[in-house]
Amino acid sequence: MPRRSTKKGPVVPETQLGSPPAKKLDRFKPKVFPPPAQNLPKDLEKYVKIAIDMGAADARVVPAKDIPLDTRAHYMFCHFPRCRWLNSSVMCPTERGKVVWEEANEVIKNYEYAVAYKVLPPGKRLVSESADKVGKIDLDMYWTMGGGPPPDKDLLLTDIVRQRIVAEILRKLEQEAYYDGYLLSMSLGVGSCLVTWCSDTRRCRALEKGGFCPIVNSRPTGNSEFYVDYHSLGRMLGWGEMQPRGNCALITENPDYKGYYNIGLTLVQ
Amino acid sequence: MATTRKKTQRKEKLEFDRGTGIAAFKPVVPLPGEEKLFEDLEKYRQMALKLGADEAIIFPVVEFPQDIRVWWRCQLPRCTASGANSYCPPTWRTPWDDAKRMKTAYKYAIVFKVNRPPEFWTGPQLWTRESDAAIAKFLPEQRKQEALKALSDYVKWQEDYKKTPTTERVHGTASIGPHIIAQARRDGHQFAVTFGVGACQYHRCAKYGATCVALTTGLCRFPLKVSPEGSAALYQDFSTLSGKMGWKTWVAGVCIKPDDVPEEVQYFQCGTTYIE
Repeated sequence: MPRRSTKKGPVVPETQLGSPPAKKLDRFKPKVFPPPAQNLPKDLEKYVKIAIDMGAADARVVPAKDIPLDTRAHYMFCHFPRCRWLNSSVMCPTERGKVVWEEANEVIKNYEYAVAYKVLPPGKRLVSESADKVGKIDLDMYWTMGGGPPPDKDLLLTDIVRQRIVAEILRKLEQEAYYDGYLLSMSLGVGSCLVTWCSDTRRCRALEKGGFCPIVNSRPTGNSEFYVDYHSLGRMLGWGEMQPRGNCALITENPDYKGYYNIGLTLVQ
Repeated sequence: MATTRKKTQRKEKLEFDRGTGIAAFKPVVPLPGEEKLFEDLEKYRQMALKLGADEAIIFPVVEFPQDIRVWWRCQLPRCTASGANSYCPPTWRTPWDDAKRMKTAYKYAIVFKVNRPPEFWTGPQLWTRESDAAIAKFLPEQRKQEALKALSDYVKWQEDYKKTPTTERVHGTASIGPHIIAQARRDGHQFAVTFGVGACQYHRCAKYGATCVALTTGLCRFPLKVSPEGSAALYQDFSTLSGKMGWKTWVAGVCIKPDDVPEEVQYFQCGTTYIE
């Protein structure tokens, strides 16, 4: 009897405002902190498998000291030239207060291992099936304010679905690692969270005076906060050249470019 | 020879001494001028126990684990109180270098723990429904009403809590620290400091509404009473610290059901008060 594949495929989550309903939560048993050192290889292998099951094209364990960091990664991808989404959300570097280079280095160097995974853009069928989950998209003003034409809605929907798939893998791996006892596990986000989660609002809710982010899954991006050079990381892992403007770049910005992919990064221990 | 003996006498004691409640690295013979300090430290330790702590230990600050990553732990995965008030990350952040310098400026601290039932740290109710009240305007009508009701229930619970006797009404570890530093400052330890536990918005200001007034106006309703959360202020790694104290730490969270928690698991809340 042929063995049935356990691969679930990409999951496109809905926007979850505030606390999620109890029935949607996964269930874990309490484990002791710190976890035994002999568990780590097995756990890392498990996270790689989860990433691939959730739709990643490839996933690898990377020693944290090999993650390429570059000061330019922050400046070239967020400021020079200015990113379309700079200051659009509370997770953008200037709004949150930029992390200085030494501190970012210290954060990364305190980890031993990370799981990196490559996520390809979703197929047309998945995008059209996920349109209801994404809902209304009201982001035209980010293109039209300067007199430019509005973006191609289908491509923008593809971008949003792509970022949500990456975000869901990031969330799942971080959750698994946390409940395995790696309390300081950390996933680095991809792209502006305004595009990923709040495309129905023109302005980030947390940027209002006295407001805070209602989305539990929003995360600061890797290259803006931690100076991760995703181009070098992709090359190092043999995944080929990344699209111009790095891990956050949207297909809407350069529709002719053929090799779009994202890298998700979860630092485990 | 005499010098060597003197050095041996001054050699720091490495073992954890449960009898006196004084943790590792306490000098066997207090250094000149420290006798009064140790009397005071013991007084504050007793005070913590009297105020409701289950264990309290005098701990040398040099042994405190500091980790820059703990500031991010409040946000990754994101706590519902993260950014909800002026003293939780990411709103508050002590620069890393300043935090390291501050740590080296202190010698001794009181570390205490308050045991908590599994329901306190596990289960879906950890997503505080009160925190939903802060974003009520973005929620559908039914959830908005639920969130506002949860906030008013919480305020009512707080009011009832205050009526119980002193030792019973200690709300988490948040009230033990301020009592100790008030006494310590009267005793002349002018740099005594304690750090908050959890979001001050819910400890202090729940009855005034769901939004922190300091985020909107820059002015706090409770100056002299609130301080930044420990991990935000000094990057204290409480999980590792608990291990050093000999307290077994278990992973807690919303995805663990209280029914799944075995009997041997003891969850607790940990607080620190830096004295001198």
